[in-house]
Amino acid sequence: MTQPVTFGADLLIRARDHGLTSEELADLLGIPAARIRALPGPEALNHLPGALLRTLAERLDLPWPDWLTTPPTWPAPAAPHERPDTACVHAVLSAALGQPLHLSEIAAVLDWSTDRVRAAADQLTTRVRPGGGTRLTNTGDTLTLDVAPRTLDHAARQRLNRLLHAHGLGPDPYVLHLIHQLSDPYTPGRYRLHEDADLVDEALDYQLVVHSIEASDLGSFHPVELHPDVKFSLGITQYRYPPEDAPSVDTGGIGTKADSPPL
Amino acid sequence: MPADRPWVTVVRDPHDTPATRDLLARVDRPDRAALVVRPVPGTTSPAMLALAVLAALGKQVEPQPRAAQRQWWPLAQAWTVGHQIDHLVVDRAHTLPAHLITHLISLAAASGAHLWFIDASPAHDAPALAGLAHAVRQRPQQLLTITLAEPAAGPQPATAAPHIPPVILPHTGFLTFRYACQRRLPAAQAALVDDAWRHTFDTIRGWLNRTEVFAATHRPDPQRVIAATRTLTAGLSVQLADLLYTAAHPADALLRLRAAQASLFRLGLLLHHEPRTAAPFGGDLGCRLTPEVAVALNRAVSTSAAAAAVLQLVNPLDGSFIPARPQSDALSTIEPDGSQLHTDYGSVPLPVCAHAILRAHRHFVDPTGTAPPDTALFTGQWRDADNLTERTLRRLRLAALPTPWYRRSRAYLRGHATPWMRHRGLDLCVLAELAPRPGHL
Repeated sequence: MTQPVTFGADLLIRARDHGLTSEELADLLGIPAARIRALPGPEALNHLPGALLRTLAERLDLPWPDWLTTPPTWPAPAAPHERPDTACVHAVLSAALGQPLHLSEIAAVLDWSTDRVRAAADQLTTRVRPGGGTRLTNTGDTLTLDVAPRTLDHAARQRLNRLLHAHGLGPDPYVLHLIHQLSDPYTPGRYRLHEDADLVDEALDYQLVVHSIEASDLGSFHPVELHPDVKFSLGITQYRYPPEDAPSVDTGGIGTKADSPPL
Repeated sequence: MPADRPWVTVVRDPHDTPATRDLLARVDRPDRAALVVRPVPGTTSPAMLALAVLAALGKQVEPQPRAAQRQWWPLAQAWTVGHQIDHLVVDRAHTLPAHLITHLISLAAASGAHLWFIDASPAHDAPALAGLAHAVRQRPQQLLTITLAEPAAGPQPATAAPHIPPVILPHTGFLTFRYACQRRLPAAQAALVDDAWRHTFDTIRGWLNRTEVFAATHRPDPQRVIAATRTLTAGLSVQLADLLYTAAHPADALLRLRAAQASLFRLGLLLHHEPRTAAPFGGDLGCRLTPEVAVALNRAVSTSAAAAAVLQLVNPLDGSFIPARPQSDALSTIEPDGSQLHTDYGSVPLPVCAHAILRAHRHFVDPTGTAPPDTALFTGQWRDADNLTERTLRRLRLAALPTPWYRRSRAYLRGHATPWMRHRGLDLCVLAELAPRPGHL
């Protein structure tokens, strides 16, 4: 079954291309993702405030009338390569708040040498002042940026942990069913799942599936296949990072017995 | 020397020198299989001697054990066998009556230990010791040989899969875990991690292929799989216990769990992992019987109390999940050396710290080694009781084990889980059960 491509569906695809998930777009516009997908045309956005439309245009890189555009009067933010090393290391630690990171991990994230990270870390350790709400622990080769003790009381920490725990559980369970269907080429009715656009959207947001180039010719709505990373992690394919260096090989399942049919 | 005639050495120390005291203090290392028993003055009964043996083994004998006095000596004997004592040194043995000397000889024979009597009587050999025809007479310096003896190599932890170094693994779910490891770890570590991942993946795949529901086909009718989930859950508990108990550290355990999840997923089973505590990732997957808890349990005099608590902590199955069968707590469920627990779904390797306790209890239940295999391990209060661990620890005035506190997400179906799995935030469901229904979102 195919579904007509609407203005709203186009908008969702454009948003995704610009790094905005369907949930983030829904939050921005104050309209549920399912309703956005059903929007027939741009006039459906007429009721939205101008400031919101301007934000939308900026996020999606859409044209905006010149007379409403004012030239920026503030200095442009420093390019990433111009920022101090300590700021970059601090940013990485902030993004991984509470997680101990080895110098080599930070080096891998920033694509730096370990010595450069070590130097920045040493500088950062002397600069972070107590009383700022955070605490930097430098134990030789491992750095941890954490909330300073007694900044949050036990009850607040527990509530926060529960919130983060709930958020960190991953995709909707139904998405896992979709992933399994996609992992097994012989599952009956697997293509019917592709019609569930919200599931596909969520799987795309979690980068568990990608648009299928081969299937797009069939004209089906949102044809998708498993992301190569997921195929590798489920033992469907074999390759070593980076995937571009070595073509993926479909093994039909690692360790499949000789007398067992491939999955 | 016959099995019932242990090596006996009488050490003459007529001057009762401080040097001998120092030597005995050096010898007293139960962890190196050398035990020094110090009977209190006036010891005339086996029960009092048993208390001295139990105290030497580190048992809590103050206040006196609740067990009946006639049980004290069998308990002392069971624990001595359980701890595999090689050298049993009895201080001031010249004060003991002849019948207690005989008891000690039988204790040494049962445990295969070399028996040393310290005879500090000033004038001549103590009458009870003088009659030991087969005993060798030595000077106190001979005790040094005990300290010089190399300890016997203890049992090595079982290894079900290759171990990985204690690396920091990515905090991702199983759907992208293997890739994330390859992406984030240095090449050498990534290769080790991937080898271990494959090994566990294949282990679980092999087990599933042997189960009744997947033996005939890899794509059985979903309803058939759903009907078999309870049995699969029990078997999976045992398989996971085998994998997680032998993990070298939390990262090793987490890697094995992720590989098992991927392997199960390929065959349509979702092993959902939702950690229940704020422990470091993978930290709550391993065995709850840690060496620290084992040390605490080892202070119990009752082998039943200690063994029941150990089994509750290590047993991946539970009577409330699997209907208890008559032989579910039989003698044969424990390997004679205490290294394995045998269940209807396979064997579970037990942590080294559990071996001595289980060996001791086996010996207590079956001191002659002739009891039928279906002999019950526990009787009375220790059978089918809840919270054995907490009860045992409370008796020893130790804190209870921490309990999980995260509430479970309501987004996921509540799958099947043994209490052992639930404690680790794991449950199993069939992916076909997650098929979307109209209006599910």
